[in-house]
Amino acid sequence: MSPVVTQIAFGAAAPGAIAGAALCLATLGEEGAAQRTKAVIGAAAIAGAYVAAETLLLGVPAFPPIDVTHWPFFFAIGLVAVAAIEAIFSRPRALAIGTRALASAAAAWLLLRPVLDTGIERDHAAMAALLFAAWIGLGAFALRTPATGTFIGLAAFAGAAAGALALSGSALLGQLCGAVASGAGGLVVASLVRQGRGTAAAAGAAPVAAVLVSCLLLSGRVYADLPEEAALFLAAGGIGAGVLSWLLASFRRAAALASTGILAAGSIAGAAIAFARSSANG
Amino acid sequence: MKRALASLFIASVIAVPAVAAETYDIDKSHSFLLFRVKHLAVSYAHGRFNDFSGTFVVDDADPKKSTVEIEVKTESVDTGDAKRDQHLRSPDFFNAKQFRTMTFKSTSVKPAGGDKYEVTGDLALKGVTKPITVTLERVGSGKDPWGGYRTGFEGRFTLKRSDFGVDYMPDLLGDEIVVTVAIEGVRK
Repeated sequence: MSPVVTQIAFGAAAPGAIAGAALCLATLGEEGAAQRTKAVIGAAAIAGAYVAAETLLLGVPAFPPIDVTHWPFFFAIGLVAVAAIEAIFSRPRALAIGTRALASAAAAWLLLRPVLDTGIERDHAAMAALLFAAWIGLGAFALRTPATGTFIGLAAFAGAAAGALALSGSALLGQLCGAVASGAGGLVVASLVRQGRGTAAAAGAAPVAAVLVSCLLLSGRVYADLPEEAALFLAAGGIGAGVLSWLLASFRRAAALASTGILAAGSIAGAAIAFARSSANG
Repeated sequence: MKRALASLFIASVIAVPAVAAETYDIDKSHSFLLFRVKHLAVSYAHGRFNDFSGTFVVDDADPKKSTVEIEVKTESVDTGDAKRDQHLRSPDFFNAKQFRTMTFKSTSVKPAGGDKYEVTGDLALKGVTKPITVTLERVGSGKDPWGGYRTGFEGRFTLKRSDFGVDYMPDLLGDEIVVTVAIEGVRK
């Protein structure tokens, strides 16, 4: 197999197929049955796509990883565990948000640890906060948006982030983010095949995709040359989608359109800034 | 007799520094860390590191006591193409923000005939430390115009980048890196 075909097969086709197959599995049962289980399968679909892509492209990283940019591999696995715990144990909403805040802080600390000896820079802290906000925002977006729309939004968000990262000096981070986009793309196809079913799975998939993409953006900002504005626009799209879907909760169709629109706008703006900056740098 | 012994003692004391170990600081302006890697299996791409420092100790009387220590700033990688250098500094290769330096510290030095020395030591790169051996040849030694004393060595060794976790794009860039070390030191 030629190198290009290998990269496409391992980095795009495999994660898409894995995620799509997982969604088909999640939607086999009757609607309304075992919604929480379906959310876990949704989380596993994106996480599995990411883990498979990184394993096929780079091999299984050591634990703990020597290079911090491999932490998302383990975060993906951890996020499935979080989804499973949330499925088994009902918790007050505040506790769930608190857990996510703590997990976000821990993830940000692990990713930023090598550069913390030079002090926490303003944008590092901001990016870590945005990581948490995007997690909450895209989670809320998925709860109030039809499954296919959620998956399209996630694919666009991750795809734009992948492009921005690849244009900012790290093809590797771009490729890993592309695996998330491919996974979401596989979910879009599977959702269409299953005639739009999979809302519960979407609610499980969105937080995983949000965290993985946010972690890769944070890595791109700190360890590569992702422009701050590009990262902010991408993250703002995810947050805005959550806020709009919450504000317009009474108008379901309008909420879906507006939140998907702002997610797409933030994603396009982020990728465009990275492209412009890359072109300007020669 | 006493005078003769005293003269012998004084002579021996004076003679010792001439053969004792001498410590040198690497003169960055006149030292070079160069590398080459195969590109697409059709040509060699060349590059260098511009920022490094170190010391070496030369013991001509007992070469085994000689040592070398070098610290290289990974961010100073320079291949003559800003975009490529940005890529080399990224997590795809050196991840220079996390792994700011690579270091070499010798563990043994053996004479290898003539002016050559076989230097074995630990190379630490991207969180991985592995032993490497390089044969260094003394190019020359002598006084400089500013009253200092200098000596220089040059050698070449090959390493596999995948051994150090720098394994991205194996189909586009060769695994073997040929490194040329050309160091000039100023005696302390």
